[in-house]
Amino acid sequence: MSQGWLTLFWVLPAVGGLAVLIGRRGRWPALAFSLATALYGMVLLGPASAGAWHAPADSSLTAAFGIRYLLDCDGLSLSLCWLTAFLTLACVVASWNKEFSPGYWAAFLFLESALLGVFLARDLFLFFVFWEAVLIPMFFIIGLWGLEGRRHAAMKFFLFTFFGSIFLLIGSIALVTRHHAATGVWTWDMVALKGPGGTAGVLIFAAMALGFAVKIPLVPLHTWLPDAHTEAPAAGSVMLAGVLLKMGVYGFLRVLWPVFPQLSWELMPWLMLLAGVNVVYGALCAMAQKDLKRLIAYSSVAHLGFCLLGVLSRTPEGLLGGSLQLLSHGLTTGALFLLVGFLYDRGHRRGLGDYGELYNRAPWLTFFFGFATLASVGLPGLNGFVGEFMSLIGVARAMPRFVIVGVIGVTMSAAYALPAYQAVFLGAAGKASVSSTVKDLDGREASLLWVFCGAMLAIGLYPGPLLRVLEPFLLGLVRVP
Amino acid sequence: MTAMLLALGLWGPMAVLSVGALAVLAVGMGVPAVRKSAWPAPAEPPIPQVTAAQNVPGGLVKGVAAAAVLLAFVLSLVAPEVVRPPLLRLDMLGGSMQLVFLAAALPLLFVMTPGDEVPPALVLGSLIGMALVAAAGSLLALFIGLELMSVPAYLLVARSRSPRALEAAVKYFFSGSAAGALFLMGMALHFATAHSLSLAPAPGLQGEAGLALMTAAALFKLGAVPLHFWLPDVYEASDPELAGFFSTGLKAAAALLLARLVGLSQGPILSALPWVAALTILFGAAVALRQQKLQRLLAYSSISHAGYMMLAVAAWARQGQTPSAAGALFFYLGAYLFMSGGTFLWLKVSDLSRREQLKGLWRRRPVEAAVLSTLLLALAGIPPTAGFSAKFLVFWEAFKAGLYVPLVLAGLGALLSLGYYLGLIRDMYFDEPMTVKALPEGRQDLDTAVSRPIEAALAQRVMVVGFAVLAVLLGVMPWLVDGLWAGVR
Repeated sequence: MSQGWLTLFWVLPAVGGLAVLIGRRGRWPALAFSLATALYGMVLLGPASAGAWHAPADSSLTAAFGIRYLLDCDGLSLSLCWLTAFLTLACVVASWNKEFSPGYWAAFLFLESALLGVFLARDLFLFFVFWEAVLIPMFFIIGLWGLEGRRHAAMKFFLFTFFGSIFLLIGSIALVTRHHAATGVWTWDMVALKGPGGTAGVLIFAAMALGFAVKIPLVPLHTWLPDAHTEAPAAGSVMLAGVLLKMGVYGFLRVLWPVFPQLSWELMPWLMLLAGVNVVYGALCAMAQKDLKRLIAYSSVAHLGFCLLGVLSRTPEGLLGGSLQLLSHGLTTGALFLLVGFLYDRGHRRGLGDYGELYNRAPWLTFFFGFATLASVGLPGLNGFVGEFMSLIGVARAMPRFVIVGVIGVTMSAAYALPAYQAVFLGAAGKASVSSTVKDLDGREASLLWVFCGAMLAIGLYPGPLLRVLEPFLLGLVRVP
Repeated sequence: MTAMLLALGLWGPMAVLSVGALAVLAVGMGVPAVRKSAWPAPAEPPIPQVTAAQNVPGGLVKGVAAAAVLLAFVLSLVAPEVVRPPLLRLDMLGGSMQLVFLAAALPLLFVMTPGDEVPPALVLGSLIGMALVAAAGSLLALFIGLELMSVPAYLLVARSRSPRALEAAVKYFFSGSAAGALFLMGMALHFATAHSLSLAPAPGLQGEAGLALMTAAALFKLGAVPLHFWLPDVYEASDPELAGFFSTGLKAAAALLLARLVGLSQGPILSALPWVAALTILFGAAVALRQQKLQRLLAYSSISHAGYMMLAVAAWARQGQTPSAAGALFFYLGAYLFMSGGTFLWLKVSDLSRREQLKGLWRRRPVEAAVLSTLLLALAGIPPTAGFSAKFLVFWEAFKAGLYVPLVLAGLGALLSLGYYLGLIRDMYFDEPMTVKALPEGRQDLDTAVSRPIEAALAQRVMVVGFAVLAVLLGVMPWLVDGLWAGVR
C-alpha cells in the first residue's frame, strides 16, 4: 500500500508533539492528536489487510548501500500499532489532571511516533533508526517525571538498550554484507534478506537476537526492567510494559524468523530454554516483591517469556497465541499499571503492606484491579487465557517437555498475583495502612478502565476477528516438524 | 586555459590563504589602535584586555581573514583533480579534507574575540600548512605542511585567555617538536631504503620502520592513545572556539596525514592501526567519564572520536583505498565538524566551564540546554542525528574491511561514551539546579556564571543553534552530502 498513507500514520503524532511544544499547551492538542492517530489506525485496517507485507517496493529515498525509505503494514504490524495508539490515548486521558509541562505530553506523542515507525518499517535500517529513536522520549519520561530513583533508572534503561542495539546494528551490517556477497544485491529489505548458514549465520543470529533480547527482556539482561518500570510515572510504565517490551518479540517474529528460517528452527531448543527460564525466574522474583509496581514489572518478565515460548514453537497455534498474548498483555498490564498509578496518586505508597481493606473504601478500584488481575492470571473468558492456552498447545506440539514449564508459569502467576491483590484490597489493614486516604476512582478514570475491561472481555470471549487479522503474516512462518 | 585551471585548482587555495594572511597583517599594521595591543607587556603576563574601541579594526581584520578562507573554500570546491609530481597533487581525499578544515576555520574567525591582527593571521598560516598537507605529493611537502600547520597552533594556544595557556603552549610545542623529529627520522629511513621522497611504498623492514615513525608523528597530531598525553591540557587551556578548531580542522588534517602514510604501508602498520584505534576509542571514553571540567571532558571525547577516524582510515587502506571508504572518513569529519565544533562554541557562548554548573540548567536556560542536548546526542551517535550516520558509515566500512573485533570494541566504546554524553543531559534535565550553599568553599563564582545573563552576541548564539540543527539534519539527509561528495569528485 502507498507509502504516503503509512507515513502519515507515524508522522501524525510527531506533528502533534511539535504542536504541543510550539503552542505551549499540553493536554488538549495531545488528546486531539492521539485520538486522531488511533482513529486513523482503525481506518487503515481495510487497505492493510488487502495489501499485506509483500507489497512491491515503490519508494526509493537513497539507493546508496541499498537503504530505502520503505514502510509496510500487515495484520501483525497493524494490531501492534493499534495497541500503541490506544495505550497512548489512554495515557493522555489517565494523566489528564496532572499539572505537567508541555514537554510531558509532547514526549508521549514523540514516543508514539517512534513506536509506530518501528512497527511499520520494512527496511531494516529504518527499523533500527526508529528502534533507537524510541529511547530518547522514554529516557526523558522516566528521568523528568518519574519517582525517587528516576535519575538512575533512566540511565540504566538507556544504557542497557543501547548495549543491545550495538550488537543489533553490527549484526544487521553483517547480514546485509553477507547477503550482498551471496546474491550481489545491496538491500535492507526485511522481506528480501536471507541470512547465511554456518558459523557466520549463528554469529549474526546471536548478535541480532541479543539486541532483541535486551528489550523483551530475557534473563539475565532484564535488570533494567524492574527499575525502569518502578521509577517511571504511571503512564510511562504503561508504555514501557505495554508496547516497548513487545518490540523485542516483534523483532524475533519480523526479522529473525523470516531471515533465518532454518537456523531459527535449529536453535529453537536453546531459545525455548531461555524463554522457560524467563517464565520461572520472573514468577519467582514477582513472588518475592513487596512493592506492587515492582511485582507487576517482574510479572511482565514472566509473561513475555510465555509469549516467546509460543512464538518459538513455530506452530500455527503457538505463533498466533504468542502474538495474541503480546496484545492482551499490553492491555492487561497497561490497566494494572494505570490502576497502581491511580492508587499511588491517592495514597503515595506502593508497598503491599501499606494498604488493606480497600474494597469498602474504593469499590471500583478494587473491582477493576481484580478484573485485570484475573485477566493477567489467565482466567478463562478473559484475554490472558486465550493467548496462554494457544501458546501451550503450540509448545505441546513442538517441544512437549516445555509444556511443564508453561504450566508451572501459569500456576505461579496465580501464586504471586492473587496474594498481592488480597493484601492490598481485601485483607485487613495494618497499623501503617494509608487506606483511609484513598478515594474511589472518579468518572474519567472509571470510564477509561471500562474500555480496557471491555477489550479484555471481547478478546477473551471472541478472539476470532483479531486472530484473522494476525494470520496472514504469521501462518507464513509456520514450520511443520 | 586548461593548464591555468589546473594550476588554479592546485595552488589557488594556498595562494589565496597566503595573500589573505599578508593582507591581514598589513591591515593590522596600518591601524595604530590595533598595534598597541599586539603583544602583552612582559610585566602583565597572560593577555591584554581588549577594549571596545578596538573592535572596528579587529572586525575588519577578521573579515579579511574570513573572506580569504571563504574564497579558498570556493576554489577547492570547484578544483579539478590534479596530480603533478613530484611535489604536489590534489586528489579526491585531499580535496575533501581541505573542505573540512577550511569550513572549520570560518566559525573560529567569526567568533574570535576581536583584537589585533595576529590571531587571524596565525589561523590563516595554519590553514596554509593544512592545504599543503592536502596537496602534498611527496614526503617533503607533507613534512613542511605538518610543521606549517603546527607552529601557528602553538602560538594560538599561548595567546589564549586561560592562566595556564603558556604552560599548555610549551607542552604542545615540545610534543609537537617530538612528532616532527619522529617524522624526520622516519623520512630519513624511508629515503635510505627507497632513495626517493615521493609518496611510494618503501620495500622491506627498514622501509616499514621508517613509515612507522612517520605514522607515529601523524598519530601524535591526531591524539591517538598512547600519544595523546599533550591533548587534554592543550584543549583545556585554549579558548573554547580554538579548541573546537583543533578538534575539527586540525584533526581533519591529521587524519589526512595519517591516511597518506598508512596508504603506503604493506603490512604491520595496516594490521596494527585498527587495534590502536579501538584502544583510543575505549581509553578516551573511559577517562572522559571522570572529568569534571567540561573542556577537558570534551578533549577526552575528541580523543575517543579520533579513534573512529583512525578506524575509517584503516578500513580505507585495507580495502585498497576505495572511494566509498574515503567517503565514510569525509562524512565522519564533516559531521564531527558540526557536532564538536558546535559543542565547543556552545561552551564559549554559554560561558560555563564545570560540570556542576550544568545541573538543572534546563530550568534556567531551556533553549541552551536543548541545544547542548542535541549536540551531545549527535556526538553519542544516537539516530537520527549525523553522529549516527557517521558512525554507521565507519562501522559499515570497517566490517567490509574485515575488522570484526575492533568493530565490536568500537561499539562498546560508543556505549561507554554514552555514560558521559547522556550523563551531561541527565545533569541538565534531571537534577535540581545547584544552590549557592551547596557549592564548595570559595567557588561561589560557579553560580554567578550560571545566573548571569548571557553576554554573547546574538549572531554567535544563532550560529550554535545552526550547528545543532545541522548536526541533526545531516543525519536525516545523508544524500545531501552524497551530492556534495559527487561534486567534489
